[in-house]
Amino acid sequence: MKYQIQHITGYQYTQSVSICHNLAHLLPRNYPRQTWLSHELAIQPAAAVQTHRTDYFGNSILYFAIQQSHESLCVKAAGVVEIARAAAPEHLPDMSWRAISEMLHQRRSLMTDPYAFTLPSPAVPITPKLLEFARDSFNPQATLLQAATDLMRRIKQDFTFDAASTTISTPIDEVLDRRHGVCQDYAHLAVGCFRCFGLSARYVSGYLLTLPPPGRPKIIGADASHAWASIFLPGCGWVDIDPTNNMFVSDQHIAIACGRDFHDVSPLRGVLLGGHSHRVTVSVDVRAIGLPSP
Amino acid sequence: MNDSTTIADNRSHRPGGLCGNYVGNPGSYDEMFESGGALRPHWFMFVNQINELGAAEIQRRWLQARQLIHDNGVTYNVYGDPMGMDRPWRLDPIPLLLDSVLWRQLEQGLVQRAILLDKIIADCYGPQRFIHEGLLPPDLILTHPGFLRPCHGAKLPNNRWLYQYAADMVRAPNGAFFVLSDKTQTPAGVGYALENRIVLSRALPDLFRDCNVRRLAQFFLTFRETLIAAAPRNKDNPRVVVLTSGPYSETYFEHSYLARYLGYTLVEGGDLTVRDSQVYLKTLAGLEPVDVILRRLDDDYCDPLELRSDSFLGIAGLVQAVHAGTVCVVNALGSGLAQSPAIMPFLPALCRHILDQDLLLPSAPSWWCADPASLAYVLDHPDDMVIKQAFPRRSFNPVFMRNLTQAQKADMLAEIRRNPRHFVAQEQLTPATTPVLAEGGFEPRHMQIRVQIAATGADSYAVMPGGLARFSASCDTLVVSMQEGGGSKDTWVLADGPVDTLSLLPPTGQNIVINRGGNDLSSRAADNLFWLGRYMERAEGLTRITRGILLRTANQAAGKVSPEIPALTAVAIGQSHSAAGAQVASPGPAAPAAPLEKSTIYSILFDPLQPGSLYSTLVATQRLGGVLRDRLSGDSWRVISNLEHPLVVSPGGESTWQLNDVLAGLDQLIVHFAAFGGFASESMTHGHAWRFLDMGRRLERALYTLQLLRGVMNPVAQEENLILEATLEIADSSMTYRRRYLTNLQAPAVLDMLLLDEGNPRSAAFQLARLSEHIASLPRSLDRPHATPEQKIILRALTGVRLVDVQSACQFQPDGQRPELNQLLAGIVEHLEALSDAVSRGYLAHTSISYQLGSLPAVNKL
Repeated sequence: MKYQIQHITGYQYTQSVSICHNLAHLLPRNYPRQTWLSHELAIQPAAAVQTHRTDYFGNSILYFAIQQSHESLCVKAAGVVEIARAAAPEHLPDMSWRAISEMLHQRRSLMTDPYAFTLPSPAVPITPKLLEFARDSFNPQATLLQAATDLMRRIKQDFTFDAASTTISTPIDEVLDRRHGVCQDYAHLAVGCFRCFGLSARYVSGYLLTLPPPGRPKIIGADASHAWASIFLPGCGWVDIDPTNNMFVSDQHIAIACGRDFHDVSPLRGVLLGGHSHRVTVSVDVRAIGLPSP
Repeated sequence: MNDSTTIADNRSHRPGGLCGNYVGNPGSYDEMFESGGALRPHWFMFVNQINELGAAEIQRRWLQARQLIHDNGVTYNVYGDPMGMDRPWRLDPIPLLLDSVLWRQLEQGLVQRAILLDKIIADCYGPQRFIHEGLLPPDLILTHPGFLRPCHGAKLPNNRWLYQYAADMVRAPNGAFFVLSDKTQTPAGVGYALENRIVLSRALPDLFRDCNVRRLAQFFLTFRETLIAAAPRNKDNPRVVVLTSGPYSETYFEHSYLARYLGYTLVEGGDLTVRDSQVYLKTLAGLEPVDVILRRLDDDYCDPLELRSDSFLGIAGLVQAVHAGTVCVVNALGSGLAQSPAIMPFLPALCRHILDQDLLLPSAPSWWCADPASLAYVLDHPDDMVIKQAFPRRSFNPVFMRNLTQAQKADMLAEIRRNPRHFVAQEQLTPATTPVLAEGGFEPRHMQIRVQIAATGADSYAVMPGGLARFSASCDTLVVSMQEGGGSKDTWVLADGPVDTLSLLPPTGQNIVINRGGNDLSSRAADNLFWLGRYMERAEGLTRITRGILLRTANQAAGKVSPEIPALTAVAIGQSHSAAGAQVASPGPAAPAAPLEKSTIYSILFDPLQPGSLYSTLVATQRLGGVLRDRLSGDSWRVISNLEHPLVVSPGGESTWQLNDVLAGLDQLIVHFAAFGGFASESMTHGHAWRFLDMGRRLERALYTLQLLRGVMNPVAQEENLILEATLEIADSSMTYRRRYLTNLQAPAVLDMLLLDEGNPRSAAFQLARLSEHIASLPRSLDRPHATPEQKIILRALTGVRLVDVQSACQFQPDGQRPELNQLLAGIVEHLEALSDAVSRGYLAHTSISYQLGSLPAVNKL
């Protein structure tokens, strides 16, 4: 599938800002199934400094600074990406989750990359509450993908999706108490459950197709940035799962960045001088190229 | 004295004197005496000489030395200390002596350890080979909160991360040294070590010379060269700044001390800004590029954009500047990682692997509890252990298991079992004892020593020949902590022969580039100087007027109240009941002639709860002085640090003070103020720093004089000549007046002298003229119009004063009011307040709050 993506973030300040420093995880990254054909980023007002680097997790990050007085900021990222359909879970070389967990632990020095994602992180600590919730899905005999399937089913069933219920900083225990959340909380929750059992799970931020192709069900997370989880399956690599929509990722998810949790990959953050308070608007548009628009 | 016989005596006898019946603790190594009771040879010279001096002489010199410590303002801030900030530093007069053979061994071990830690840090932020090769557990680094991922991949000159390092060491009973902790974040202690050295070498100059003590200056010279070489650009004359977390930091004294000693600008995060991926210092004259940042701020606080977003102490964009290679941060951001004691168990293998050498200087045996076998050992031997945090945070002191009750011990072990990876257990070693001077002679205390190491050349390190020795509060406790009542010592590393002296000034004969700059005054420092001037002057004004009142009270006939006292008291109350900076309350109508209450004077002078009282003003002055420590000469600082002394006549309570004591104290204070004024005008370079200090003084003095005139001249007093006389006296202008007018006291003449006479340094016009000069000399950015708001205001005020007709202004109405004068004075006061605001806005407004631009959560629609 080919998609055209446009992601616009706008900030309106109540007072003028004299200087701002920003860090954006908005630049595309290629994955085995995902290739960017084109991409551009526009910043208004013009940034005095704009420079790329690769972060610790291999994501492309953009640092930019606006050094003239301004009352608003608009960052527009647009591009075309081609995504190959992921293998269906039933075709993957599945393994017992316990065997995977043991292997990751034993080879932790050599397999540092997947192993690193078995460890707790600032937004995803391993808490007794989390472990208690996770336990039911990790039957000792289950394979990794069986556990994942069951976990996603339970999250979908037990939790209410509620855009108003959390901010970016809701602790995972609070999400568990309230059984409410947004896709970010769902992703954190799923990531944490795998890590409870020594399994590698990372957090992925990206986009989702706005309008499903005809005949496919309507899904949650469109028109905004989306977040999901990715788990490590030896012999296969990272398998993306979307707990918000209780599905294995196929070809409707466009990944931008991945990390331990939201804090590693927040799309846009900044420190500014002045400004007092601000209003932010975000719009995301994802269209499949070659499909009829409604 | 014949040395050979003395040595023979020492071998066969106890030296006696101060050593008396000194015995170390059984089971500890003693630094001074061998286990058989003989004095260790490297102490011979010292002990002989100190015994010759005798206890009384040492005590006498030590009192002087303690005054020096107080005057120099050596303090150690303890967070949450009910005694308030700035606890004085405790120093023992007996240094720790280390001989040259031992020192060479320690040096080798410390240099090796520094190289090793540097390579470990570099690897963690680079290829992470040591993790892949199984030499460091991945969990240790990857869950370490001090592993700052945004710093990963930074390309640093010579791939050097560690520039400054310190090791805390103890000597075990077998005489060997062990490292208790490695300080790679912001290794404190160097300033205290220097200060201890200065105090001790002054108190015991002969001993210091005769013992061939190695000097410290070369170490700092080397370090300065290293920092210059580390500058990515401007290598000829790089700008190096010392970044502090501010006066509330535990070790602020040291930050300012280091800045002064090395000749660098002391800055807070708010003084720096990143433009075009380059760090700049915000000065009055504009932005000046910064090449090297010697940070005393923990690395995770250094950049709110990429590191801790809740930090208000850092510089947004600093990490970017590091990646861009435009600035060198010392130690590199991320170096705090190696401070974790959890790394210690892995050092021997890492050392063999990386350097192909055995680790020369061992760590105290340590176990990281994340490893199941280590955990089991620790749980089996709890009483041998000191528990430390694996990932140190500020609020955790080591726990000595042996000192806990059974219940506390069980809690601690349960906590370790719950969170094993958060804890490291270290075998509790019995530290060596060393003598401290107590009432009856020497007494043993357990001690540990912190030694400083600094980078030199491209890949090596130099050890400071000395260090900060700290000792326990008593010989019964093994816990060595300044916070728990211990103290510190200077460490004398003895050379084999006479030592060269060296100063930090460049050698003669070397051509120096002439530079009249010092043009690095940050807006924050300028602001503080301005307020220091204001507080100092405000204190002086209050002192002068109160002294005038009290003198008159003392001289008044019994039962009769001098008529001028109520009016003056009203002015003093107006001044003291408003905090500096707030608009001074206009003096109210003079109260009817009533006896002066002691409580009124108490509230003006001593009341700590009254923000404008003399006491509060002096405390505020001292606090500002402390913040500006790096900008004040030692002499000026001495004046400031002793400011509150004359006021200590009143131990508290509203009526305990005695008139004559207070008067003597106030006289003394006036001399202090004059001394400070003298140092400021005679010893400070007349640059921007001086201008801001003087502007503060002038502005405050003008305000004070105007308020005084308003209070005493309007309305006309019953016996005006009495109050005019008092006013002249308070304004220190009686002599001049008498010379001009003899004893003929007339309101217009007094007004001329105190308001208009630009030749009288106490007149309002004099202050305005000086302010006008200062304002004309301030740097002006090109985008500001030619006449700045502050220039316009001062011009208006000065012209207004120059145009005054004193005869007409002194006209009064039948009810005694002088409306013209009152309006005139009020108008000038208003101008001055507007001026203060304009200067703040134009030059000092640096504290714009920065804040986070939060991302939106990934919000979705159903």
